[in-house]
Amino acid sequence: MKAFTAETGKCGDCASGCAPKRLTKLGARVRKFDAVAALAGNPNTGKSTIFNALTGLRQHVGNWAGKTVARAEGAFETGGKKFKLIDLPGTYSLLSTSPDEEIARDFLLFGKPDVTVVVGDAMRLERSLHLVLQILEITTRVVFALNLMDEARRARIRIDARQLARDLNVPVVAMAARRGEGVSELLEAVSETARRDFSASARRISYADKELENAVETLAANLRANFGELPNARWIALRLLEGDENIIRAVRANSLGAEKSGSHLTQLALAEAR
Amino acid sequence: MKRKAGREAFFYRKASAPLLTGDTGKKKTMTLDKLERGRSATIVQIFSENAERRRLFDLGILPGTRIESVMASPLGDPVAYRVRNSVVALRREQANLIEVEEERHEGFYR
Repeated sequence: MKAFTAETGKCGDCASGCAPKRLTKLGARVRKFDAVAALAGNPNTGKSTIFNALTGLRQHVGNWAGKTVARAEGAFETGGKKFKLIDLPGTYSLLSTSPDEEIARDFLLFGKPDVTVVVGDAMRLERSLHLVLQILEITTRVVFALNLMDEARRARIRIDARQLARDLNVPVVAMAARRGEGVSELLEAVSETARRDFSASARRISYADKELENAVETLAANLRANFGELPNARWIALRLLEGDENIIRAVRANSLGAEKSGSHLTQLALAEAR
Repeated sequence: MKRKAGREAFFYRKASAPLLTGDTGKKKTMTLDKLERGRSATIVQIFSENAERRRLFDLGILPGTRIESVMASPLGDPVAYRVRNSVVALRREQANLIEVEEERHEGFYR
């Protein structure tokens, strides 16, 4: 556990006494905040553990699927900025039809968090990366928290987090959240990403099928023309091509191009529409 | 899938037991539900459709993926499969829609 000694504000476990990112846990006091961060990821990867480590709350942590059914909210402060933190239900994908996957997806899409922390399982990296790439289609303001590194070490799995960060072009933080490892690095990455506009160079999938790629680009250009610059125009175009009812409704209701400040209103509108 | 000659050669040297009888070198495919406990296979094709197909893909179950049958529930259905280092339970009617090619020798590719 990385212990923050109260007198110095430095972490106690390295000789150099590096100054870690200061964290103030604000619990559920979320009246005013400067930015919104969301925790997404596969089920059982430690999202709620990270949530509790950052907010000081005691959101139920348990080893079974569907534990966080609705989303939980808390807050923390770092680098002089107050963050509201949303703990989303665990999902394998943003495409499937279960209610908790829809909650996660709708929040990322319409709630427009300033930073999305995708929590991945170092033991099951491939499956975690699937969701990372999907989320990168919606937003590029992503931090990949590679959790359960302690378990992976025990299983002699070695992961080159730096190379992964270069490949994805988003920050990758190796963590063992239940021991507090990587928490200050995560804070650093989150506040850095919140400050950044958006990384246009983040890794994105393009589709091999020419016809599909053309259709997506045409539709995406059309969406941008109508709704302004959208970071997720391609993703919306894909869902429209699939005939996704929710997305079609959102396009009709004009709730895609809403400004960031209006995002909570769109959320409410969305809640009403359900 | 075509096996590399080098690997094959390695295997023939290593094998102390007689070669599998009736091994013609042709692909032996079956549906996943027929895969015995403890055996591994590579997925050739997935016949499931729509939401179910997508769900399998989301879980990392795709053509070319290696899959191992690890255990069955007391009644034999569902069966737990290991895929990309996680364990996924599939019902028989789901596994029946997945065509696999069994690995000829257990543990060989590990």
